[in-house]
Amino acid sequence: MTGTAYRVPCKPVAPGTKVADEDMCIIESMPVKSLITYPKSGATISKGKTLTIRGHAWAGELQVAKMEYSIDFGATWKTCMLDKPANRLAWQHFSAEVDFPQEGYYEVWAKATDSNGVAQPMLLPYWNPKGYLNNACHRIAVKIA
Amino acid sequence: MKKQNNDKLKKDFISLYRVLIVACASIGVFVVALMYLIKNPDVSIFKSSEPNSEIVAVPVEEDDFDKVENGIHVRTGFVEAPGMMETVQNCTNCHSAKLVIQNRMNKERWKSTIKWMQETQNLWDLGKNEDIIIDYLVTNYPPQKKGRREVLSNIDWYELKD
Repeated sequence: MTGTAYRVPCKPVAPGTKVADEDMCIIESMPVKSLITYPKSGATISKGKTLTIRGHAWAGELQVAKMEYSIDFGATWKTCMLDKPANRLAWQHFSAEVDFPQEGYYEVWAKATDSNGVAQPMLLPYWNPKGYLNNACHRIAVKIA
Repeated sequence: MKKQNNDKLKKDFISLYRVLIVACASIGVFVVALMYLIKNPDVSIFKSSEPNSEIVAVPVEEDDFDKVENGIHVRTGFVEAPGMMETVQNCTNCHSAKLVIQNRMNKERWKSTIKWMQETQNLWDLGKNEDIIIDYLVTNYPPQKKGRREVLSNIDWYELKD
């Protein structure tokens, strides 16, 4: 496999940079990542109700050590329940009970941290021509009515 | 005693031999008769006066291999626009149209991608179709500037019941 397929710049580059073929390196490891699989984005719940969130997290060849969520765009983070993987390299289930302080629009952001202490970024990291290795935090929209 | 036994054995053997010859001859005649019946259905006892099948007129189906529905080329998913068929014919022989659509590139990057496919993946010379295809792609699938994080849009709001 040559060209840009499954390759990223060997050294970090500014977005949109043209990278020579010899400066592209094969991806050898996948970064820590997580997804909120319940509820679907767009849930409306009534004030005072607790929202249960669930999801999956994985960390390439490592294990997920910590799972957190934020309802204030990363200003504060709370810990989720995190299961051990069923076997090595399996994804791990997480869940949390989320309370909201008042009515309005919220986003629930989820962030996993791997066993090396490396966490998911909230922004898209490391621009590359094909958009690989995007492990930015997943989020869902929630409305409290 | 021994001689008598031998004579009896000889007689038995001869009669067995005759039975065997008659049996073989009968089977031979039967097979020939059967072949004749199969080959010549006019004398077949299985002959029926009714035809086994009836002829039904099958409506000739329209050739919809390149059907376009609601502005989408059904077979590939490409949007209908000038240059679509050139793109279908030169790209989707080897790979899915999705592989083309998901790569939103500008003219320069498409040119270098085509060059790479020609140098390493046996893509043929596209001739005058190269510009037609690239124009189709950059017009209908232009690069999108998404920034580092987009605002959540097109949220499908629903009431979550417990």
